[in-house]
Amino acid sequence: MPKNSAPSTTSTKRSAVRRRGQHVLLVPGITLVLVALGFFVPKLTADPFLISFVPTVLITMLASMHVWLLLRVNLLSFASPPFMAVGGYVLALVAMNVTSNAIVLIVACLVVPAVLAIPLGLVLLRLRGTYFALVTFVLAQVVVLIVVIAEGPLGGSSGLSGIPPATLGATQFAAGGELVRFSVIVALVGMGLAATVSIVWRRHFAALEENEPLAASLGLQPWRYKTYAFISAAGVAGLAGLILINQLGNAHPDSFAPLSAVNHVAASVIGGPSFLGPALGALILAWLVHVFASQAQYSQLLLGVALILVTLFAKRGLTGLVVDAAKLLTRAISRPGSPDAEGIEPRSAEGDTTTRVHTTLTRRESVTTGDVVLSVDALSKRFGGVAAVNGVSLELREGDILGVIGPNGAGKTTLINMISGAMVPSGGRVTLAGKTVTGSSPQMMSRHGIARSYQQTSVFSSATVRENLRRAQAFSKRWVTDEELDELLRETGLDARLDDIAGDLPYGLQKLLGLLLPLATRPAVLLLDEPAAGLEVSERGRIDQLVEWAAVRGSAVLLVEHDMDLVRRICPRLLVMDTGKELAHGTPEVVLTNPDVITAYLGVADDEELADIADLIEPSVLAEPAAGTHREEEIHRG
Amino acid sequence: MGEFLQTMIGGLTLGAQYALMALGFSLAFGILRVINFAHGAFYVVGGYLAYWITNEVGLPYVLGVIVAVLGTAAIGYVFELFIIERRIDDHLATIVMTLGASLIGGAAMLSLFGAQAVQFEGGLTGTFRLGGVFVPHARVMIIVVAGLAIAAVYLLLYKTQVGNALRALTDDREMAVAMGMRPKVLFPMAFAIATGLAGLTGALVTPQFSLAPFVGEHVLMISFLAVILGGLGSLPGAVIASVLVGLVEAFVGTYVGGSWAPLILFTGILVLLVVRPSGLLGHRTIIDA
Repeated sequence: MPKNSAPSTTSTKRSAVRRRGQHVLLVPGITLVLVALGFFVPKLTADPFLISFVPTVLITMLASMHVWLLLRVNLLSFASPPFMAVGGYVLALVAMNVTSNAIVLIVACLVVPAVLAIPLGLVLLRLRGTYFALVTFVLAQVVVLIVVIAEGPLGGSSGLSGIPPATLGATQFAAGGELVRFSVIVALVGMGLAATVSIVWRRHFAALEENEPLAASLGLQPWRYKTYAFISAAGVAGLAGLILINQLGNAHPDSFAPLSAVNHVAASVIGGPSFLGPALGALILAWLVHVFASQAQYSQLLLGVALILVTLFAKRGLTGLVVDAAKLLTRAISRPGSPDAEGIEPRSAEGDTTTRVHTTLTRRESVTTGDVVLSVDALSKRFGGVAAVNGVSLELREGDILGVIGPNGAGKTTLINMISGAMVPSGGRVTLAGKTVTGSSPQMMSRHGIARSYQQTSVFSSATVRENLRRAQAFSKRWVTDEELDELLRETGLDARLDDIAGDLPYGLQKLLGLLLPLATRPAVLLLDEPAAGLEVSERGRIDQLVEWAAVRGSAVLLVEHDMDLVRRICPRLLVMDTGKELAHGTPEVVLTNPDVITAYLGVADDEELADIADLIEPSVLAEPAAGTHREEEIHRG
Repeated sequence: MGEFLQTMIGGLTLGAQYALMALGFSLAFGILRVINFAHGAFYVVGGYLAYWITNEVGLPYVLGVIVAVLGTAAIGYVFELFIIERRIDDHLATIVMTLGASLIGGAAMLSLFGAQAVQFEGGLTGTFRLGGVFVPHARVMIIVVAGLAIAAVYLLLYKTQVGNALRALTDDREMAVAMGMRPKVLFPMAFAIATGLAGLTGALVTPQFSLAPFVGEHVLMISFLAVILGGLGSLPGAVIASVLVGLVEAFVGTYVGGSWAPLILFTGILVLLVVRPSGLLGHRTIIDA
């Protein structure tokens, strides 16, 4: 095993480009540019065009930032106009009735929409992505309708006019350079908020955007971070409304047309997921609108075409294209003398280590004493009329390993899904250390100490291995010690690939990383869904070690697997499932010679044949269940 | 009593029009899982095609309707095949691309026909009396067509082999493809039917309401309401919800006041989402587990 390789040496350069942390550097840069724009442009030019153009760009930018923030948690929002309306009308009401102090106005226009977003988020964020998009559209209509009907306080469809401009001391931010400066400051507040949120919770957001089920199974509460994003996005949109109404001097429902959200979505998508995206998108949009001021159809046409082209060919938007171009450039410059070494990285002699694994590991004894950690009682799941799992019961103690086998469609994965919280059982009970947890969400299950792996590889594939681990650590309540993590990394061979992008790893290593993440949360119960599926034989030995590693540390392991050799090696106890029911339960020797089990796997019913087969075959043959034969045999018998 | 009956019939005819509007939208989502933000644009394009054939070319209205259906279906087919299909698994991407298509469609109508609403009479004029209530012929025709279209879509989806294949592709695309179904043929076809329905609705309904490049927004909104209320992906749900929306609009409009109707509807929907997030007839699947 390669013990000497020091982490963080390989390919840091390449992965650094993709790391989200770089945004930290971008923010001060944008700030400087904007401050410079705000303070010098009007003085130098006093250009009437720029005096109206800069606030317009900033309004679109903040509104797009609303969309952008929610896109970071994989939600598409059309709610920029309604929150802008809230901000705008708050400005109008406060400035007309209370005070026109700029600081008070900024705080009010940020806080009121954000506070309103809390109850709204409670309702809307329960909805799945596409539904959320539709409902935010409806919300936009509702807010306009409310404004129209509220003729008394909000002026109805004729709007409110004569709103005093924001002031600070003797300065009035009404027109000219003052207006631009005020708009820039408000925009900076909004961008500062968006930047803070997207940096502080960058791991949570990135994980939600990329692989929400995995994040939840590691303990992240998706709803919570979506709510954070929604609240801050509402505040940012409120500030956009502030700039808009302060610039116009009157508030009118037409300024917050629900369809204007399409422009904000467009700017955000065309700009791309980089923090600079909304700024670039807003600039392009405002420029288009300005150029085609008298022929709106052309800017609309170009925008539509751009939306489709960007979605098809530049998923990371224009800023993504710039980053890619920059990467190509640096590669072209640095090419002489530095061949790409990553592709030909020498691999350690894995074969040797794994053969040793086979010979040194002995099967653990079945655990019969100690406290029951996980107790599953008559668990069932029905899909329509089909019972995928039908009254399965089992118990696991500390350090226990239970293998669950059965033909495809026996309900093994459904069983894991119910215990891990991914599916709500139709009946039965799951008890963890005496506490009933039936039907809890995946993140609650994770918090209770139930961790799972997935049948297909499930990692944060655009992040490095190191970042995958950091995310898991950030989401989970429990975590291994540094020494234990080093040990796990060595055992999986991932220690040499810490700075590689997870999605670029070979399949086997991705699968092992998918195992390592739940393992590193030091679970009380570890559910493994076919950990060996898709692995090379030489890599399968690592599974033995990982399971052993967890069991020694007191985890109760439930292992679903088709590889009979592996199951016989490490499981002292087997549960065989067929068509959702328990078929047999006991030691591998007893279970695998059980006639019912052999029938389920091979579809043989005749007693004589059974005896022959039990004598003849190696149990490993059972690894290939003969799908269909079972049914055919039944028909023949009937 | 007369007022009540008039309102009732008005609400039902409005509901039938809304059902026709929502049908194509619901179909596109039910089969392709695509939220078609261009649905309103296809409606407008259908309206203008029928208008162009009838008023500018001078052919009979029936021909205008046929051209509108075929034209919008053809555009939908090409759009699905070459654009949507490439990102079919990414829900956000399909929303963004249909938004793009909607902008393009609106821009095209704007540059061809101008921003002003055009005078589009349609083919049927006149009204008849039904128990003291006046009902325009055109509305009766819309109700009949809406009924036929709903029945046709239902039969297509649930009683034909193509329908079975389409539903199989919706359930598990990978498996359905492995079984020999061809999404590259079936999905563009399904989308073409959905956009063709939008075009048909545009050709039939714009003479009743109005025809301008921006009227698609209202249709899109009604479609949203119908599918949210009825449950995303549920065809019967969308139809029932459409009729409900029509009735609420008519009754609130008569007895409470015009601008309250949409507010009551929209707020009612937000409340419904709290109580029953899957809509009236929807499955529980829209909620994150």
